[in-house]
Amino acid sequence: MGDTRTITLVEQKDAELVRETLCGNTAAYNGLVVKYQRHVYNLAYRMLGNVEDAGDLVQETFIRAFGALAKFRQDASFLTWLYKITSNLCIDQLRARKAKPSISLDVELEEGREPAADLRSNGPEEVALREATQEILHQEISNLPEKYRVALIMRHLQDMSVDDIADALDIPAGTVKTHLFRAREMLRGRLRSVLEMETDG
Amino acid sequence: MDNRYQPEKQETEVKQEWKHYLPPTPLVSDIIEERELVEEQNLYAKTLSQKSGMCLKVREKLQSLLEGEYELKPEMAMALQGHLAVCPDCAFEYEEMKKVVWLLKSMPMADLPMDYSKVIMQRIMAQQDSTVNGVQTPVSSGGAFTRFFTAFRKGKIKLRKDSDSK
Repeated sequence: MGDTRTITLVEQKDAELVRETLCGNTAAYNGLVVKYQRHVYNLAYRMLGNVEDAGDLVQETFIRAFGALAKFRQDASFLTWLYKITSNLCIDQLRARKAKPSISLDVELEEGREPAADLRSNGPEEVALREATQEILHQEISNLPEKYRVALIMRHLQDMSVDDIADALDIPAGTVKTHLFRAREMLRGRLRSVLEMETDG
Repeated sequence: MDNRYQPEKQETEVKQEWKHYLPPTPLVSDIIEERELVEEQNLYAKTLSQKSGMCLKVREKLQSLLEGEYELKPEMAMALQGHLAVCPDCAFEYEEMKKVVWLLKSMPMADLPMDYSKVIMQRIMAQQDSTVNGVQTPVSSGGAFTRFFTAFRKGKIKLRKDSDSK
């Protein structure tokens, strides 16, 4: 993704599909869903931490996007616009979760932390180790504060530019950088065992 | 009772026990040497705090170096690299930050558990069918708010002002 906003061929194609959809060809929208559902799912999955909620959120995002399609600026990236809807819905859901203390997220997270201690002593095979590392990472990302988490996921997992993140989250680029800085610092502290292992191996 | 706490006795016992661990009465030369050592330590602590102030500035900029940001001037990048070469603390931190980013980037994209497109399109069609006169309205699961907001914008619902209640 470039730093200057030039419309790519992909974006032109997307804009075309949006126009067709707005003209009443609903099948064109299916093309956009098929193309981007995995992107949306990944953001939702890393934000919400579980498959079920992420799946529901994918549906919700595309249905909302369809309803608001007329508002989409055709010169912008459709994916960034989708991410904007996804991240808003994710944050709404995370806040709703906090409001319902009966669902104990802490228990889940505590369980998820356990492998960190076992990892060194077990000495499993490379693949198992890699999977365990991914699991710890996934859990630790889930433990980050929402605003840091979303910036981090967009930057390093979805490979978005700082400017695109700023656009999607409606915050200044400088704020995105600060959030990224804090998120990485937090992760660095929490991933000490994994980082040491990476040095050893 | 025999095992009752007896402070005086216990204190003497402890003194006896630790006697051979305690240093002998210091000589004047030792005292001077120790004072010099303390001063040296203070100086070291002072330079360390100055250094960490510098390091703090460097660490802020390291994030930019990590991002390979275009606004980071080449001379600044050079200065940072220069600092990393002489400051093992900052170099260690930078290496760790790089590892964090590398770990994140190496996370695979999660596979879709299912193809959601059919369900999504079915839900959209169903919502479209249910709209009156084929007019497209924003589709939302929280329809109540949308209905309220639409009515509000059309002026069907008015907010009561403070002056109305008086």
